[in-house]
Amino acid sequence: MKNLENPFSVLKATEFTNEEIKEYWVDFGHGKNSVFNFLNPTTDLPKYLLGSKGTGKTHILKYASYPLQKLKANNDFNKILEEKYIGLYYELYGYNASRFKGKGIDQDQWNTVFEYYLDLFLADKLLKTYSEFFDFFKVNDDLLQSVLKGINNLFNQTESPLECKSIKELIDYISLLRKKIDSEINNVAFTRKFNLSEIKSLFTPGDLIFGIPELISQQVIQLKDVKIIYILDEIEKLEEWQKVYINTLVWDKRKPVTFWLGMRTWGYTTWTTKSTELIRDGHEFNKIDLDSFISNNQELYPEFVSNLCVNRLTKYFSKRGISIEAKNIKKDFEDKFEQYSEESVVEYFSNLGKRKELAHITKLKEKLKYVIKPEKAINSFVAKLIDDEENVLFQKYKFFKFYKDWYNLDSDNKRLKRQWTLENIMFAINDEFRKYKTGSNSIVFEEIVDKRKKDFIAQICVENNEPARNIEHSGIDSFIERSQCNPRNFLMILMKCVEIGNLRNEKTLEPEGKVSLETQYRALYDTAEWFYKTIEIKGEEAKKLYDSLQFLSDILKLYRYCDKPTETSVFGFSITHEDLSNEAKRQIGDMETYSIIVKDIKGRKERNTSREENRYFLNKTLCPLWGLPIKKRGILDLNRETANLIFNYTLKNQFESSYKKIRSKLVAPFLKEELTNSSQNTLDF
Amino acid sequence: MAIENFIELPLKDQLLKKVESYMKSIWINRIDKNKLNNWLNNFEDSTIDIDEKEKLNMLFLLSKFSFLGDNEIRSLLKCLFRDLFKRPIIQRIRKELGDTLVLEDINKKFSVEFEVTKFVAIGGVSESGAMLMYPFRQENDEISEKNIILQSEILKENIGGQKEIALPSVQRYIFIDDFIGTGSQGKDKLKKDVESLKNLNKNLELCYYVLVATEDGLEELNKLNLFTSVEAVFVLDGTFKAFEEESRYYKTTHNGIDREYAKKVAEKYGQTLFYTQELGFGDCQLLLGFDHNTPDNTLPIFWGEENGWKYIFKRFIKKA
Amino acid sequence: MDYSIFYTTKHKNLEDGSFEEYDLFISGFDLCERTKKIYDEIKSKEKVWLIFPQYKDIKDTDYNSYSNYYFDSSYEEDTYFEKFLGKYNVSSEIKLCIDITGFIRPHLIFLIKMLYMTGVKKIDFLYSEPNHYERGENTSFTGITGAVESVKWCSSENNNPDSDNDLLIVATGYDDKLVQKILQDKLRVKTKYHLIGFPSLQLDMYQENILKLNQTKELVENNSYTEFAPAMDPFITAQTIHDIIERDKSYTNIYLCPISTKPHTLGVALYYLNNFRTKPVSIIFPYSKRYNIKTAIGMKRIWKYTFELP
Repeated sequence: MKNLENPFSVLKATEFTNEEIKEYWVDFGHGKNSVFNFLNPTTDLPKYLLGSKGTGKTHILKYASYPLQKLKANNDFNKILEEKYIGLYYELYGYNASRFKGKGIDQDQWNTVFEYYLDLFLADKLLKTYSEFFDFFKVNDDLLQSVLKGINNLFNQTESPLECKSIKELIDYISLLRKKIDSEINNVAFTRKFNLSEIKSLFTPGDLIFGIPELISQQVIQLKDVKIIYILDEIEKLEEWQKVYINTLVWDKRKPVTFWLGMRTWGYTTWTTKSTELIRDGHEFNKIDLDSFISNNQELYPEFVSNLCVNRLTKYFSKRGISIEAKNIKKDFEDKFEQYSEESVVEYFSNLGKRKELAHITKLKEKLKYVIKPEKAINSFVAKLIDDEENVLFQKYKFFKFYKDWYNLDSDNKRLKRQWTLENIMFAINDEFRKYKTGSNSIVFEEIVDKRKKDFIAQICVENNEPARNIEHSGIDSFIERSQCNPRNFLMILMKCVEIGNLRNEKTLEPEGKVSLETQYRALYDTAEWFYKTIEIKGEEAKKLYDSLQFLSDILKLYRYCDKPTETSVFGFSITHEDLSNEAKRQIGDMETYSIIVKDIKGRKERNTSREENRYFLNKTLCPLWGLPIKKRGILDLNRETANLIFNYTLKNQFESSYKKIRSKLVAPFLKEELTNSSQNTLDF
Repeated sequence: MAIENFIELPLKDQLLKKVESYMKSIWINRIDKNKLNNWLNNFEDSTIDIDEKEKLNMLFLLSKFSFLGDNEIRSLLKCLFRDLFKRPIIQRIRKELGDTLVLEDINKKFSVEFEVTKFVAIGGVSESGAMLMYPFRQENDEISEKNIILQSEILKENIGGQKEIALPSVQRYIFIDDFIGTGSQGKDKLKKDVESLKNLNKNLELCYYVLVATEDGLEELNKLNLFTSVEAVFVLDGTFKAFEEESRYYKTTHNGIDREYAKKVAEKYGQTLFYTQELGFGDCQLLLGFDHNTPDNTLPIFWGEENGWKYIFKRFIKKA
Repeated sequence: MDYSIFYTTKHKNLEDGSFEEYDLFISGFDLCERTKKIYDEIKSKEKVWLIFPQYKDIKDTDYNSYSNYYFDSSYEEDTYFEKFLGKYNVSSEIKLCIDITGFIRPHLIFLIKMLYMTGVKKIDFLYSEPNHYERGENTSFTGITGAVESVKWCSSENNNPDSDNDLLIVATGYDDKLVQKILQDKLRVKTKYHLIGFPSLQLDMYQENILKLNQTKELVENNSYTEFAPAMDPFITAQTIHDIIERDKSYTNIYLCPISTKPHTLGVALYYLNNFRTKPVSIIFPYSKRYNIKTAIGMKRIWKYTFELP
């Protein structure tokens, strides 16, 4: 049930009552930034509102719909009419559109039945709404009968004329027609052909959808200039040919009717109509892409979601009789979040290192077994390399230099014409490090510290099985950034903070409450897992997408957590467009559509060549799953081979060997041959 | 689907997540964070056991624990009445009446059978059998006070001091309890009375129905040839013994989870908590608890209270 | 309506004298010991194996030693059974038995409806439990799921365009990916129930089921109710569905989804057959083109359920 203990627990507009839709409404901004500036009910042009999961599409559409119009106007229909439109909201999942296929029936027949049924489906709410208006305005009986006569005449009169004497009779009659079709569609699974008398069209598709409003606006004076907007939400639930029909209706629309269509970004797949005319953005309709809107107005987003947060908290406190000023609510809440500190993490592990052997030391010893004999010499070798340095981060810096020099040993010896061994390297490193520590110049270590610090802290946390310490950035502002311009992601993180905090007795929402770093990490991780598991892609496409994501994350993880990272805090990758096979291009397109990766618009490199290079980064919401950084630093240039192996599912089986090749250069003991026990699915470095 | 390649939460956190999930649902209002932490702190702590292996293994066992809360018990009581008692009779009646579907006729015949049936709360007033009777009535509309008797009401002494059936019209006695472990308790409590009943009237139908029983316990009781039937809604076979080789709890392996090691830990602490029965009465090694009580066949580390040990699933009803 | 009066019995094997001779016996081929054992030992004038194309692990050499099997390459249950009535004599007079153990759920439901609409009023259903599963009881058995659709011939004959007070009842089992698919597809349904198999087949399966359900709810939704229906009992399942629906006479559309045990699936089908004419009820399912067979050893028990249809 709705969790009243958690002000962020309701995350979807579909869970709200109408009152709550109104109460929890927050606009993006004012004036030209208001949602209703581009979703303007006074213009005739149909609107296609695209939004990925969590961008607020349904909340917006419901807020504009008739039940909310009534609420906002306090049931005063005169006030509703001042808005000059009536918004009829339909959720298309209820159409059960997948029934209209197969069962041995040809496509033409399905087209006919679907189109006819749509009139009958939409007419129900249309007439019920009109009925309420007629009641309010006490429309006199003569006028009502005249209207009904007109509607009756829309139906085919050859067999027996329709003579409904009341709106209710009409609604019931249409309901009966629907039921006959429901039965036919159901039974045809067995009979394999329609009983034509049951599904015969009694009017031309569109006659009710357009004809009824046309008629009524002509005859009923109060409704003369009032638009009827059919708000059809969940267009993505329709089959392709069904969407084509909806486009056709949009093309064919007649006053006073217009359409607002709500759909997922990935559901927007066709702009053809039945007559092969194409509907065009800006001409036959206006496309509004909420994701683009938010990312193009990135300055608006932080304030928008902050307002969402404050709105929720205000309601939460007022329900408990606590009144706090809005600006205090925000500050008090922000202050609860424990701050991340690099120093604390390093100190913690350095202290732990005094009690037990940390993972990087154990691993080095394991790896040295390949190159140092006898094995019993390894312990003292490593001890000498550590050289009593207790700071775990400094140990890591030295180890990194050691790995680098180990990898380059042969080529360096050749180049410098010397005969160095690992021992020589070890002493040289300690000499250089002493310089760094005593304040004399050591460019080598200064560069290492500058470039590698954050990655090594991450490594220490993950290697020693305490990934929660690797949060790197904490607090509300960090959450805003990590939510990747998606309001639901942001609310989800907050919801989890409260939920997990309560389980840990942190008393999150009480005055003395805090949100610990561990709770924040868990909230981010759980949100990432939620996002990952609820991607709305289906079937074979889903498998391909998840496989590609696994490969991509494996590579990004490798570059961060290896022994010898070559890039700094890799957060994204770049690909040259021409290098990609068609399948890889498709896959990248899919991953963008489903918000798995985001194109980095600002960072596009310009080159002298005309080759188009694109930069992408992983959706920040997902990063905690693989311990990847969220701040922009390093970009991985993917060469043609690697890019295609990641994104082209037909090359799936070759990915592993290519991955091992890359790995052998980054992970000691740098063997050219495949390591028999290596597994790309574990951080088994 | 791709195998998930996430940075995994440490096993301890994964197990905590599971336990927290139970705390929000089946164990709700029973276990809170304090109880959990107090119980975990019974075991060796991270300054001594640097890998926290002891705590981890005990947490693992906790994540496998089967707790039957109030909702679950009520559902089982409904099943006991409906599926163990009523439906076999209904089916028999229907067959006698030529497979009729007329509810009225069926129910009429059933009431006749119901009239001569008594549900018996085993043992004394403060024991588990008696405690179940109130929810048993609440969950089954057909049962009223007059259908339920205490065990002490079955027999009476006549003037000559001999045992006599107190309610001669009754044809069927259904003895009800929550649990059969080794069967020894059931035997102790019931053998005498049931033998007397059988001697006085060999045509009586004598049933012993419980919510949960072990296979071994059912076998023990069936061997006595005392009862017409001994049944349980849930039967626990040998795989429910926590530390035996065929234990269902250790079928998948995890890093750091060790069945033999866990057994030693449970024995170590069990010794002080339940002397000579350190892995639960009758060496049952169970991970089972009810809303109203934890049987002593369950590992003592869960319910023990000796020497300042913090229990997690309380044992309310002690054996006499 | 009292579904609990219908006959249901447990048996250790087929030899205890309670099995009459049937006219037609139908079973879903699934490579398992116990399904084969029942097929071989049951007394019936005619027996037929149904070979489902979704079981990719089955090769024709596995079953072509049997003389009587039925196969169609279509994944859709309506097309699959199109030729069935032409081959097998089915009427209200025949003694019919179906072993549901190896069936694919939508096919089972469609078959039952088809038999019912053809006049059959009485069917004995068998379901067998193994001694144990090779890879543990609680493993999921589906591959990639496609779309959520209504089972053929089981869509609503009273589809209500007003979806303000819709009801979803999911017989929820261990396969959390399937549960997630259904909840995502029917996100906007106002009232949701999870029917959990309790008592479950084994004691700890119940809590594992709840754990999985909690995990799924965290991903998709959080406001639903849970009700119990014994995992092996179709009749109490149907009764529980009935009781839920009777609580509110104004449900606009009712969606039933059987993704837990096979006996639960029978219960959903039974309720549907008793109510599809008068109520806005449909059966939905997350379809898949591939099912993995849960390899199982031995046979512990056989359940027999007798449907007596209206």
